[in-house]
Amino acid sequence: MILFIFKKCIKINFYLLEKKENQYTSEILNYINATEKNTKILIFIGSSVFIIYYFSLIFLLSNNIKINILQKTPLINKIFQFYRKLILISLYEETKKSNG
Amino acid sequence: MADFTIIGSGAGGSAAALELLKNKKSVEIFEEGIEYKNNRMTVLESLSKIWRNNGITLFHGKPILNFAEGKCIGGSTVINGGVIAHTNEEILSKWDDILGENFFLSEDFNKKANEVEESLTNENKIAHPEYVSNSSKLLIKAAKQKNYIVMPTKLAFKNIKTIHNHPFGCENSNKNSLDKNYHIKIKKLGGKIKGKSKLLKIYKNKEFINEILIENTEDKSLKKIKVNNLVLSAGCTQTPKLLLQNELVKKVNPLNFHFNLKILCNYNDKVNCQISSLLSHHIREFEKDGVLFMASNYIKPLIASYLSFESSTKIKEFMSKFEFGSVFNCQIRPDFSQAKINKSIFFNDTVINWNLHDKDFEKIKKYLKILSELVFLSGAKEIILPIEKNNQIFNDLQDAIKRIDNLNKKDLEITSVHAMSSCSMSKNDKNITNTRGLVNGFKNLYIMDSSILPSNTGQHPQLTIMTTVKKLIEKNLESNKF
Repeated sequence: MILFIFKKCIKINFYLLEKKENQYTSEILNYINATEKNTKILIFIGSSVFIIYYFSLIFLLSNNIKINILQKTPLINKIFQFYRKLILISLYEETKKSNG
Repeated sequence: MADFTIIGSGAGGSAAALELLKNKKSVEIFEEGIEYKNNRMTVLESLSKIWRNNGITLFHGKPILNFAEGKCIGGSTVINGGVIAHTNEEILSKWDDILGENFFLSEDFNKKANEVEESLTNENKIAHPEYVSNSSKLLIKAAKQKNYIVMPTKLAFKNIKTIHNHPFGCENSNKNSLDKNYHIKIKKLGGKIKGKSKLLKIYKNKEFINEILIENTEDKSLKKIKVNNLVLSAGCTQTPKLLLQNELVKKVNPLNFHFNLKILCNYNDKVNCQISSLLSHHIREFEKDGVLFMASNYIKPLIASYLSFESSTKIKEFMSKFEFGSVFNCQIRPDFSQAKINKSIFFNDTVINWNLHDKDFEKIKKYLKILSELVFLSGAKEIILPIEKNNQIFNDLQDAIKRIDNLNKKDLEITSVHAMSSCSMSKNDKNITNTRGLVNGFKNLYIMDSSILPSNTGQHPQLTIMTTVKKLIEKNLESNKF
C-alpha cells in the first residue's frame, strides 16, 4: 500500500513535468524508503492527501492549471515540490562525471 | 573498556578523540553512519547514504526550513566541511561573559585555533588561483565594483586528493574532511572508530552513566557496552535528541543556525561555472551583521531541483543553457529566530519547530536585494529568486526588488547547514552543560560538539567547534577532572 502510494505520486509528478518515467524511478523509491520512520510517515500522509486531492479536484484540468493550483495550495505544494525536486535531481544526474 | 566512549565522529568527536589520545587516554568512537570512500555516487545515492535523514531534517514552522547534516564517518565535515573561519572577537567576548571566565578570548584559545587551522589546511591555506571557480570570479568582479570587502577563503585541503584538489563543490555533493586527516592520526594512536553503530539507549545510575546500548545498523544486532566516560558528539540536533530520549535532561537550549538563500542566474555568454564550483572567496562587507555572500555548488542535479517551482518549459530552457548560468548563496545569521527541540508526543523522537522572526525577515529581504544587485552587476541577464512560486525570473533589478518587497514569509525557500548551541555551556548550573563541557547533574557525561557553543558564530563553525573541544579537553586534564 505504502509503496503503491509513493509509486503513484512519482508517476503523477513525472506526468506533470512532461517527462516519461525512467530507470531512476526505483532510485527515488529507494531514497524515500531510506528516510527516517517519522519522515516516511509524513511523506506517506502527504502523498495520500496529494493523490486524493489530485484525482478528486484537479484531474480533468490542463497541466498548467493543475500545477498552478498545486502550487497555491499550502502543504499540498510541499509534497508536490518534494517529488518534483527528486525527479528533477534524477533527470539531471551526471553519473558519468568522477567525484570532485 | 575504553577511558572515553565518544558518540559521533564529526568535528567535535574527532577533535576530542585526538586530544584525549595524545594525552594517553584510550578512546572508542561509535558512529551511526557508514564510511564514505570517495565512491562515485549519484546525488540521490549520496543523500540516502551519507546525509542524516537523506538531507531532509525539517524545522517545522513558517516557512518550513530544510536543515542538512552528515551521517557518516567524519559527520558533517564530509558533506559540508571545508571552510576554515575564525569566529570574530565581538562574539567570543559575549561568550566569555556567558562562561564568566577568560576562555574564548584567551591567548591560548587563539593559539589552539591556529594549531587546528594548521592541522586542516595545506601550505597555501587558500585556493590556488587555477582552482578559483568562474562563479567566484564573477562575484568578486561585481563586489569590486561596489568596493565591497572580498576575502579569499581558507579551506581544509589537508590530504584531499580530488580532481579539483578541494573539498568543496564536488560534482556529486560529496566532500571530504576529517576522515582524510584527523581520523588517520586517531587510528595511528590506537583510537577505534566503529561505523554503522547507533546509540540506542544510555543507562544511568544516579550521577553516573554506566552503560550504553549500541545497535549495528546493518544486521540490527544489539550490544551493551560499559563506559567510564561518555562524550556526546553527535551534533547539534542529535546530541539534544539523545539527552531528551534518555530523559537525562528535561529540556534543551534553543538551536541557533544560519539561513542559506540561493539566487540562480543566467548570462548572455557562456560562463562555464560548472567546471569548478570551488568556493574560494567570501564577500565579507556585511560580516559584522552576520552576512556572507559566496558562490555555491553549480551542478546540474542541484540546480534542477532549485528550479522545481518553475514550469517544465522554463526548467528545460534554463538547463539547456547550463553553461550560461551560475548560483550564489547568501548566508545570514538570524538575530532573533531560533529553533526549539522538543520531545515528540507521538514518537520516541524529537521535533524541531521554529518561526521566522519579522526582524530577521526584513534582514533577509535587505540582503537578498543587495545580492541581487551584485548578481546583475556581475553581468547576469536574469536572476531567479529563492521563492516557492513560479515566475520568479527577473531581468531587471527594480522588478526583482519590487518582488522582494512584496514577499510573503511562507514563500521563502530557506535551507541551513550550520546549527549550534542547543546544549550551550554556561556558568549557570541550571543550563545543560557547565564550563567544562560536563552535563550538569552528571559526573561522567560530556558534550563536545557544536551544541555547546554559547550562541551563533555567524561563520562556518568547524574551526571554532574543534578549538573549543581541544581547549575543554585540556582544561579538564589540567584540573584533573577526568
